[in-house]
Amino acid sequence: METTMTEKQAHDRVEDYVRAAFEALPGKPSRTLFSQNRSECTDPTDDGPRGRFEISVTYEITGVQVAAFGEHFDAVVTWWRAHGFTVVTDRRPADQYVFARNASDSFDMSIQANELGKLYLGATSPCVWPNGVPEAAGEPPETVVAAAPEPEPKPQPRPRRAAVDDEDFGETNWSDGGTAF
Amino acid sequence: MITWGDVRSWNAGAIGTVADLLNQRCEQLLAADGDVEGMSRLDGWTGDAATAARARGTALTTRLEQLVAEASAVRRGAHETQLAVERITADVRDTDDLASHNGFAIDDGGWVTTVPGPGAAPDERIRVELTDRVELTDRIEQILRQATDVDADFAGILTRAARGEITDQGATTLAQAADAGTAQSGLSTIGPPQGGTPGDNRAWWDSLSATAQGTILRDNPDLVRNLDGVPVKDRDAANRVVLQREMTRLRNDPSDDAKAKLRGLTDIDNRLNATGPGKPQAYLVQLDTSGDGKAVVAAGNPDTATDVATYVPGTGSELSKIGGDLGRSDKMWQSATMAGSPSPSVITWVGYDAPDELWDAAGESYADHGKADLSKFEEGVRASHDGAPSHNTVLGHSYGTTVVGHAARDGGLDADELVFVASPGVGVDHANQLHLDGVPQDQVAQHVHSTVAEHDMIKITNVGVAGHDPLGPSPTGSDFGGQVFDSAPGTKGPWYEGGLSGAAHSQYWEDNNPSLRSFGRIIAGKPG
Repeated sequence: METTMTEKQAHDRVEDYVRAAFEALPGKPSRTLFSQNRSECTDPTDDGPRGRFEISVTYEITGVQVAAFGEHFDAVVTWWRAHGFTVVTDRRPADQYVFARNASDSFDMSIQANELGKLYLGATSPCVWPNGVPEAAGEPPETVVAAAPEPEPKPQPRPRRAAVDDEDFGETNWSDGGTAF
Repeated sequence: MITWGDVRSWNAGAIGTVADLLNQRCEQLLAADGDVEGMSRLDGWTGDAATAARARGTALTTRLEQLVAEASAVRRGAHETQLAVERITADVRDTDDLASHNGFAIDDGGWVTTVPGPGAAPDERIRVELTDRVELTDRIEQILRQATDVDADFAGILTRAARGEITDQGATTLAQAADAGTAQSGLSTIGPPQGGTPGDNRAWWDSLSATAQGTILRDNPDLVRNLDGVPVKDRDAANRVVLQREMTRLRNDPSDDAKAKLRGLTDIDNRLNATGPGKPQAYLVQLDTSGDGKAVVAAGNPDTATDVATYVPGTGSELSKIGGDLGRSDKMWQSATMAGSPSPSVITWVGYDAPDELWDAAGESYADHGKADLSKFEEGVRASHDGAPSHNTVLGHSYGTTVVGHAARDGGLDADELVFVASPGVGVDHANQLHLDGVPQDQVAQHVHSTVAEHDMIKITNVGVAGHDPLGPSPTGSDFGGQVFDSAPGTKGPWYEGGLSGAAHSQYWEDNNPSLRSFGRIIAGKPG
């Protein structure tokens, strides 16, 4: 199995890509982190090596008028083409979604928008080993630590309300509660 | 039998008067406790008369303790009945008002009738009327169940007191006797209706006081934690308690099965506690560790969401492997948000026994075992939702599509959209053989969406030869009649497998796959 960059390096690179593409946008927009994922690259039917992860971040771009979204899409696509990315999917105008891949390092980027006036810019790494080298035996790490046992709860009888419903507790005098005169 | 007309005339104030009077009398008796003790002590007095007086005093004390026990039992019963009747009569008023505002009337027998009047177009009016009528009927049933239960409980307390079946249980003071009597009283909390629909369950839960709901969640969470129709926040509260209990139990079980399940529960626990960008609040909607285990986890609250998706995973899915599925649901939540859903919720539904391998997925039995639970779950998603109905999507992957298809074929699903991802077949030849509640049959095909990757190994199950395709043709076929959207080709397999690969079967949720964007768009109510 091949070695890869580390998870930390992958995270740094997706952040770098988004930052660089963001800086190519016209005007002075802002950005806030929308999502960051660390997704295992396998599922139960995948015979590939387990223990690799895809690292991704997506930022919401704020401070951009909806009318200027097209200009921002174009700016990002232009930056991609100048930096080794090839547009793989461009669903405009039916859907404001463009997706590109960098053939040299297999990183992906996307820009997408919606009718609510939200604009997003993201990047995703290829599958990487956490430490850059295959995990032993490819098994997921055991995260289970034995703990002291707790007693089993007793079976409960048919539930009963508390002796006094708190809804009008204050309205009632219940001074007989075990206090002998 | 208690009727709607009966409960309309119930008077909580009258019972309150009785409760107050009983309380007053009990207090008077309890205030005499010192005098009563003195009756049998008679310090310094000896002789036959003293002996007789003490005997008499002791008998009176014993009788008084018994009376105090009985009065205390009835006092508690009357007080709790007063509270219950106040709530029931308020519910009756609310239900009568709801009926009136929606053009209905409820007669004394509890029957709902339509009051003619102007309104929306006939088709829409009929649809809304049916929905409202079902909700009203569910409410009436549950209010009458509550009323009958309260009536029977209070009658039982009175009868036991009258028959001397309430005892002082060896009390030596009147205060102890009062406590003993109180402990033998109280109204029961009525359980959910036997075999009830999710709508019945919701109406039942709403008919309980907050105190009663809290008591159930604390003392008897198993009663509601997996009950479709009960609000998700309450199911979550109940299931979290059970999750911790089960994790503790499994940590002490050395078997491989226990270790595997514990891995799944740990993943659930981690997700429930996860916060941060792209991770909405998660809710544990269902949990069952028996067999292969089942669990249902929602990313975002489906009861308040505008768009709700249920993700039904496929071959190989089980409790122990739920971690990857939870990640997929988070990605679909993110995708739906980016596609313009104001408030999505994506539910991971590991609620059926899935085939272990792709090769086991050729039979229909797994789907037939899961379809009823899925249908009921979707009905529950509707029933527990607050406010305007949400836009609901059911998305299956692999064999999960077969479960979804069979559920929609054999009785229908209460959903607005179906999505079939990498399907081995959904049990029908054409989209118009599926049924979605609330979607006219001639429009269903427009709400059925499918995709399959070019190199997906699942394609070998769609042989396309009549009699040799037990699960049905691929829903992406041109003859199927549904909506097809793109996905990436996926990893290409070796030539001797026709270029197909198992890896391509798992890549639909990768960020670089346009299918993920389509999932989000469909969940948000847009074309794939």
